[in-house]
This record gives sequence, C-alpha cells and structure tokens, in this order.
Amino acid sequence: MRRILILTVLLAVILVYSGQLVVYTYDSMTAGLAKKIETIFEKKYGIDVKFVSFGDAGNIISRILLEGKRTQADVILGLDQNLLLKAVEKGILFPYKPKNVSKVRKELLYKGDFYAVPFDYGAIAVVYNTETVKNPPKSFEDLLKPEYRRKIVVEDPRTSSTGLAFLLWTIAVYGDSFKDYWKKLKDNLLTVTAGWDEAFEMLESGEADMMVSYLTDSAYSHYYYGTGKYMPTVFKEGMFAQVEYVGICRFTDDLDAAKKFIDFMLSDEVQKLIPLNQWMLPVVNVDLPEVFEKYVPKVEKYVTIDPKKVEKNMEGWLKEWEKIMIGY
Amino acid sequence: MGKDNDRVLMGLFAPLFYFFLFLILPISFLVAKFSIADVFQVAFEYKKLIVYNIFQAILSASLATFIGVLISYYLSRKNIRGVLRNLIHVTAKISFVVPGVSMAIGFYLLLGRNGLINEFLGLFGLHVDILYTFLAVILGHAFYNIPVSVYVVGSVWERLDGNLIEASYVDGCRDLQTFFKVELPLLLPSIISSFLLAFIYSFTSFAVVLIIGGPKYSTLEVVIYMYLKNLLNFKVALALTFVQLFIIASAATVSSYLMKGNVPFGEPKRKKASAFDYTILFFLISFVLLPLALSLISGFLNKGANKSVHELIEMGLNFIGVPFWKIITTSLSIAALAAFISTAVGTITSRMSSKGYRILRLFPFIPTAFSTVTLAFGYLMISLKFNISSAYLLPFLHSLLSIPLVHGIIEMGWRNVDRSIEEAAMMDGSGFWTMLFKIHLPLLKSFLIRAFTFSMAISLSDLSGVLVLSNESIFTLSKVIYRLMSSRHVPEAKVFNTMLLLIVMFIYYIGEMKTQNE
Repeated sequence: MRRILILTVLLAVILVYSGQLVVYTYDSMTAGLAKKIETIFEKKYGIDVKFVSFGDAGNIISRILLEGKRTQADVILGLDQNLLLKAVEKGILFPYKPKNVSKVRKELLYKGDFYAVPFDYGAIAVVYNTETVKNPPKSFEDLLKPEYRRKIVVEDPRTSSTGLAFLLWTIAVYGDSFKDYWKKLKDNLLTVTAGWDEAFEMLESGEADMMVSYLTDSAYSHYYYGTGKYMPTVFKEGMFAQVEYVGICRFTDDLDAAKKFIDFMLSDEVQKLIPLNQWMLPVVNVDLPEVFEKYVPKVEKYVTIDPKKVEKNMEGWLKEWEKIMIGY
Repeated sequence: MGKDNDRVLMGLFAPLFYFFLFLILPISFLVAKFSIADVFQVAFEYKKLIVYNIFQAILSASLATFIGVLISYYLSRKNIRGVLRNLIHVTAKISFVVPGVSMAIGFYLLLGRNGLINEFLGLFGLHVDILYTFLAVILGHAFYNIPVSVYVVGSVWERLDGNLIEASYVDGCRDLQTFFKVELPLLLPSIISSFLLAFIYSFTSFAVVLIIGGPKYSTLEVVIYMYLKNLLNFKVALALTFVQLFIIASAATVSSYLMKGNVPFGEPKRKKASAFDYTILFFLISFVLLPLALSLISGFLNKGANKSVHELIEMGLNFIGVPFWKIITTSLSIAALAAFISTAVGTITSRMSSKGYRILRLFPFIPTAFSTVTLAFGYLMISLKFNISSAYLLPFLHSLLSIPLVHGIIEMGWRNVDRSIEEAAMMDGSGFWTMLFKIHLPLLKSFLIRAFTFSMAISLSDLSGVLVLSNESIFTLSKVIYRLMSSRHVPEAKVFNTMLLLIVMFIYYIGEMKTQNE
C-alpha cells in the first residue's frame, strides 16, 4: 500500500513538472520581473513556466548542488559575475549561444563558452545624503578626504554581494595595492554592515551620510515615493558593474524550452521591462524610461577584473580584507 | 518497577529519536568529506578570533544575566501588579526576537551620533560615541539576552517559597544577607542556565555584532557564513561549524555539573514597591524599552516616503500579491505547530535532565552551533531523499531552533516540582497519566505557557529557514518583509516589520495574562 502511495506521489510530481519550464531565481525577482514575463512567455511559446526562489542568488547554486540530477531546474536566472564563476566551477551550467546574442553589449558577455548570458547590469555606486553632504566625492581618492571621516558605511564583502562588488571594484581600480587603499579608507568608515538593508537604515536614521548602493537609487525613489534625498555619485576612475546572467541548468529535461527562454530574455520585449522592474540597465539597445534619463547619471567608463583572476584569488582577497579590517 | 524502567527508557528514547531525526540526520546529509585534521587546521587559523569570541560572549552574558537578575528581582519580590507588570514582562522579552535590521534602527536612534542620548547631552554641549566600540557590542548583546535571563531566572524567583525569606528575616537577616544566604543558592541553577543561553547566543551573534560593533568584532559565525554562502566552500564552513559545536557543547557540559538542587515552591512574598524601586526598574527596563520603542515607532513614521501607513500596507500587499489574512494565518499556524512540538519535546528533555540524565541536557543546546541556513539545507536533503514537501518540515526546523530556550525554561519548572508531592501521589496509587495531568502539568503551567510563547516568537521571526524550505504558496510575515526589503520597498517593509513585532508582543501579553490567572 505504501509503495503504491509513494509511486502515485512520484508520478504526480513528474506529471506536474513535465511540460513545465522551471526557473530557479532569487526571491525579489519572483515578485517583480518574473510576474511580468511569465504570461508573455507562456503566450508566445505555449510553454508553461514556473519561477522558484529560495532567498538570495547564492542559495540557488547550493540548492542545485544538493539536488544534483534530481533538480527540477531548467534555467538559472540571476547569478552575478562571482556566482556565475562558482556555478561554472561546480559544473551546473549547460553552454548555449543564443541566436540574438549579437545585440548584447560585448563587454558584458561571459568570457569563453556561453555558459550564461547577461540579461541586465547596473553600476554600484557611492550614494550620499544631499542634505548633509554638500561636496560629494567624485573619485576613490576623494573618498579618503578627512571631511568624510567616519561618515561612510559599506557592506561586509564576506556576507553581502554589494559589499563584495565594492571590494572587487577597489581591486579593479587599484590592483594589488587595494590593500593600501583600504588601510586608508578604514579611517573614514563608520562601520561595516552585514547587508544592504542595515546600511540603508544607517543612511535613513542619519547615522551615516554615505553608503555603497546602486546608481539607480535616486531614480527608484523618485519613481515610487516621489522624493529622493539620496544621490549616487560617479567616480572618475571608472564604475563597476554588477552583471546578472541567465543560463541553462545542466540537468534540464527540456533543453529546447530552456533555450527558448534564454533567447526570450534577450528580446526587446523583456529588455524594455528591465529598467522599471529590476532597476538595472538593459543589455541591448532599447529606449529608457524618462525617470532613468532624468535621475540616473551617465557612466563614461567601466572598470572590470578578469574572471579567472577573481576565481583564483577571491578567498585570498577576502582574507586580506579581514586582516586589514579586523587586525588579525 | 519494570514499568518505571520502561518510562525512563521512553523518556530517553523519545527525545533522542527526535534529535536523531531532526538534527543528526539532516546534518549527516550535509557533512562533506572533511577530516578532524581540517577542524584543527581552521581552528588554528582563526584562533585569535575564537579566543576573542569566547571572551566577548562571557562578558556579554555576564552583563545580560546581571541586569536580567535585577529585573527579575523587582518582578518577583516587589509588588508591581496588573497591566504594568505584564507590560514589563512583555517588553523585557521582546528584544530577543527583533530582527537585526529593526534593532539597528533602534540603536541608531538611541545611541547614534544624532541619537536621543546625544541630542540630550548636546543640550549641555556634550557628545559620546558609544556605537562601534567593544562596549557597544557588550551592551547590544546584553540587550538581546536580558529577556532570556528574565524568563529563566524570573520564572523561578516568582515562585520561591516566601516562608523561607520570612524565616531569614526572623533570624535577623537583612535584605542583602537574605539574598546571598537564602535566595542566591536557590536561584543559582537558573542563573547558570540563563548565563549559558546568553553565552551561546552572544557567541553565535551575526548581524548585530556588525551593526553595532563593526568588522573588528566579527564572530566565528560571520566567517562560517562567508565560506558557506560566498565562497561555497562547504568543507571549511562545516569544519568551522564543528569548532563552534565543540565550544558550545563544552559550555553546556560544564554548566550541567554546576546545576544541582531543587527549589521549594510556595506562595511568594512581595514587598510594596517604593517610588525608588519604580525608578530603578524603569531605568533597567528603559535599557530594553528605548531602542525597541524607537524602532517600533520608526516603522510607522516612514521617513523618505510621502505615504500613509495604510497606503504603504496596501502597496506592500499589492506587490506581494497574497491576502493579508493568509499571511497571518500561515505565520501563526507554523509558529503554533513549532511551539507545540518544541514544548512537548522540551518537557521531556528537561524532566530527564533534571533527573540527572546529562545527555538530554547536552542535546538541546547542539542546534545552536549550526546556523539556520545549514540546518535548513539539511532539511532540504531530507525532503529530497524521502519525497516530502520541504514546507512540511518547517515547523520541525522551527521547533529545533527554540529547543534550547524551551528546555531551559521548563527545566526550571521541573526543578521546582516538590518531590514529596510526587511521592505522596504515588503512595495514593496515582498512575503516570493521573500524575501528569493532576500534578505535573498544573505545576508546570506557567513555565509551559512561557516556553510556548517564546517558541512561537522564535518561529515568527525566522527567515533563513522559511526562505530555503517554503514555496511560492507559503508566505510568512518574515518572508514578506524580506521580499519587500530586497526589492527595495523599504518603507513598506518597515511597516510590516512593526506589525510583526506588535503581533509577537500580543502573543507574549496573552501568555502573561494566562500565567497570572493561576
């Protein structure tokens, strides 16, 4: 009797999931962009799609590693550069070169084998309170000025993806001497927070005047709440982009549908939805909404780090950072 | 006699089975290949951090226990009655379940550079920097753990037989002498128990330690998180977890040798509270109350958005797309189920450990060594291996999270059950069930209620477990707050956060009312 029951359940699970494209993604995606594109995709291709999330993007990889071959994931949506490296290293992605990939901004593509393609990107930026900071920093060197002493808050690169991106940004700008830069920056930092939320609270409560956040912050706050007292600033050394990727899970049982989904993510239709849902920039050339034109500063120059270098050195860099900030 | 032995075996077997199924099994699925040598290697690498971490936790626990004992004194020995008393009980306990972010707000608004204290000092041209120092870390952890102490110590003190104290007075002892000679020895097991809990929670502190202290005061838990989530290096993460496990298990074992003796229950003696008493009590309570109140209020003030509270709630619900009643009923049913399981298990473990079975004093503390994410991934493996929907496992995970506290609270109850009553009942021929329902449960009632409410609160405030194990159809309040926050809908998230805290306060309040009705 029990066996029959188990078999029935198994069968039911298989029936429910077959013919359905399952996309693993991070939590906030399911409430925003995913809702919008779900119906469009289903209408366009006649394929049922389901978005599943387990918290942040890091959890997606852990989950697939634990599930192994039994995973339901067909597509992985929303890995940033660092997580993409991990996903490739752990061998959970299936390479695919989308048909429409030529439209994508070249510098955003993952080097090598098309394990994943970018679907949006956005610069991280130092954001300041316009009421208290009258003379905002315009470069990393400015950030060291004595006038900002203990006014800046950054996220901990060990626990926050924004914090990690900021650390990588300083490495992209300063190379190996990033350590010297952090030693100096330390004096101007008020503290380091576990995540973006806490840092934002510090800004809101007037505890800190500047934090590491995103270039679209001001646009966002104007759009939703009609005000914006925090402004991002563009650094002359070059900005650092967080790029988000979409890729096919190696264990997919519907490769065709998965490929269609990747092509779909790069279509103008989806890319147009990126700005106001993801608060990031589209990777292909589409018109931007007015609030972006008005409140998102233009970036002339981006800096990057070779992914191979990141892969090799990440743990070492984090330990160096620990040494500088903790002292041992 | 045979029946008694059976019962002892059952008493040992049932909880151990629970720990096997919901702690050891899930962890065993995760244990990546790592050797004892790895554990030593990482322990050596992080030795300075570990030593500092232990030192910090001892200081934090000491301060928390000290203030907690003081508050318990006023609640147990002074006649503070009615609503005020309940309110103090409720507020003294809520900080424990406040999420890191909302606590951060409270601390900034109170201790920060533009905080209340500095505004006040500013009137006299003064300024203090309290945050981002070692002192701040100790204060912050004390704030979090005072509730534990009030719960555990207060529950015993309130029931201490007043005649003993009376006798001491007759012998010519004064208040302080009575305390050191009569009360302290009797309270010692509960004080040690609450110290242990505060030590463990300060040792594994995560977001708070960074918020109010900065990276300089990072704990081992932060490093574990880095390896687990950031570097996806499970081997090192688990090796570090075992270092943590070793320290916690040692602390629990040492404490179990220090805890001895029974406490005579009886009608408490309460003195009339003077104006001075009220002043001191308010000073102590304000330590917990002020940051909390500021955090609660800021949720409804929503700076940075020109919207009313009502509008924000509506915006939040629209974004999430799940009706409010569904969110509340889901959250509450998971919490009630978890509380039921943990209270049932905790009642047995604490009974057995108060009878001297040390293994059941050790096990309830082991879950604290594992971060919730680690445990949740272990549960996920169970759901995959046995084809169970992972959401069904959520109440069990939550029960495991609250077991240490639940065990600690109920154990105090068992230590207070008068053996002579038990013996008399046995002579009368009362069976196990008669004893349970006619004697034990009524005597334990207030401890059980408090354990239950605390457990519910812990379940309501969990996020990492919910994120890993729930699915799109299961929305708890904490998940709603997370989704709003991570989608940058900060003002909405803050309103929901304040609601969560109000619900927890309400549950505590009901619990306190019920314990007063005895």
